Amino acid sequence: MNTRLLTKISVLSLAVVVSAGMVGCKKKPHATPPGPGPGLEGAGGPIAVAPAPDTTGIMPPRSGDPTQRNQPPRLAANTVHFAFDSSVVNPSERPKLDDMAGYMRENPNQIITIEGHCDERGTAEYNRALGERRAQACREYLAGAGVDGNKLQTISYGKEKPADLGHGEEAWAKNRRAEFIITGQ
Amino acid sequence: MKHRMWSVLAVCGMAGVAMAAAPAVRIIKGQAPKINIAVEPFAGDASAQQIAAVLATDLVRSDWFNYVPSANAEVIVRGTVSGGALTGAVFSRGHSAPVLQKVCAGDNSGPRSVAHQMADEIVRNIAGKPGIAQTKIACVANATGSKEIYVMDYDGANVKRLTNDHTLTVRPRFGPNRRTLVYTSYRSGWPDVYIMADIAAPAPRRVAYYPGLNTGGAISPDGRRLAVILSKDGNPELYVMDLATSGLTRLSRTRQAESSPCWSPDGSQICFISDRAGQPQLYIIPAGGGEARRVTFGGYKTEPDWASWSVSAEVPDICFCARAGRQFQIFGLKSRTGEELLLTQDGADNEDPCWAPDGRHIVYSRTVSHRSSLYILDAFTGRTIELNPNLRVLGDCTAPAWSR
Repeated sequence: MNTRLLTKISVLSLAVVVSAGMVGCKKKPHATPPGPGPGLEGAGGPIAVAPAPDTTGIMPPRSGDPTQRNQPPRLAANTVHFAFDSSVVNPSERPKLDDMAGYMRENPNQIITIEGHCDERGTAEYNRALGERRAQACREYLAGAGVDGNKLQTISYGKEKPADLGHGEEAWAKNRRAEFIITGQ
Repeated sequence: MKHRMWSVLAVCGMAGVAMAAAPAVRIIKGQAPKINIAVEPFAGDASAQQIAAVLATDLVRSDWFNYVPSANAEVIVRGTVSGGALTGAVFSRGHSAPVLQKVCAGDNSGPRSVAHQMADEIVRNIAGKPGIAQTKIACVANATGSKEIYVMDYDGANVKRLTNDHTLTVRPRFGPNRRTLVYTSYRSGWPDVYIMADIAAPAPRRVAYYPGLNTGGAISPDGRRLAVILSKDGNPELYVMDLATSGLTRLSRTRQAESSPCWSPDGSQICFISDRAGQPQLYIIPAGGGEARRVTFGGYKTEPDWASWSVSAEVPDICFCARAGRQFQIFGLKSRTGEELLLTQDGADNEDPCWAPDGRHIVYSRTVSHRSSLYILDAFTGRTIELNPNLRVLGDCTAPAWSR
């Protein structure tokens, strides 16, 4: 009887392990594991595997003052640019994010705020959401590169803070961007 | 009398909506039905003629009346002003008994409010429509060097600055009464949503301040819920907050951006923007959650607003902003049929439309050579006017909101 119970338990554990593995596979490669991820080696036997709420990308509590704009040259050089109405990180912009990932590994205690910005075309409110998407796209990329998501926060200014006050494509291309600033140590 | 007016309106309404030829998108260019009205000089104290003049202007602004000499009028307004109150009477031509009698004291803020109250009585009782003369308009303006929120009467008079945040304060929207305003401010350094319960005594309460973006606040018609865009879970998504408990219901779950929610008049649905299909489009979702239904197709479409009252089946009930060629224009959508109508086309960028509670007029921001000012569109006829040229002292006026 004891044996049967044990068998049952191990079958159940196996099922748990398998489903945990599947949940792990389903996640996007650059997901931010919230706390003790889907690991199987936690203390104390089989882990109660919840049906994994999608916690991908949950934001840490706010920290620091984003209006101070502490932006050393290396961070300024890594400003990421985007195509019109797009929050996709272009391949040409990835080296900047890879350098940011390196910077954050060298400075593991810093909290970085990613500012999302848009060009002047389109309504302010939609651009506020689009700017946030751009900042979040960078955050997701960095988390996928191993940066701790809890050190990355976002703010969107939409089209309110252009880098270039001009009105042509040259200015617009500069204004569709994500910038990195330090908001905490 | 009232019945006769209604039938006149119904006939004119059908004849009046002549269509331009384009198949999917067209401009309404109608001859709106109008009643010929005269306001005779009022008897009484010093403010009497000012009240009469403001009343006449209000009736013209309602777009349900032509202001004519008494000899040509179907309807005549007479009145006596005493102790700050107007005793007004409205007569149908050829009848000695008034069809409407009313004592109006306004909101005790002076002659203009007295006139506005009488105007709304006349529009409601003679034209049979909701009046807008006692409504307010809020907007964002940058004269101080920061973006602050201002509020004014519906005709652009009595402008008052509501915020003093010295930063970006944006996207005002009125609650179901004419006093409550919700907006987004970066005053904490971050974009948060605030509610001002009474714009007469500004005391903002911060209601959404999660990590990331908090914006797009829109209060439900019953005043109990707030539709809002939050990115706390890693992406801008649509939520509904119970304003009594601050409890949140998440309505969208995408990898793209959601923005700019507005409520159906009965509070059962929310229209919002999502770019889940590649470009921003309008979607409608049950306010309690469920499947979002895409209601526009093609192009780049943002900032929907759902009219609280439907003036006619010919006039769309949802207005929004869309790219048309190299510019942005105001469009309408008939939510029942999905038909889209182009409502402005004047060589300017026209954005951020918001309905008046009469379901006929739309306030929007018109930008020419990078300067923005507020305009009013009559969705029945396509006619547009600048709200009030005096507002230019506020700098660029954008993101207007009309009280319900």
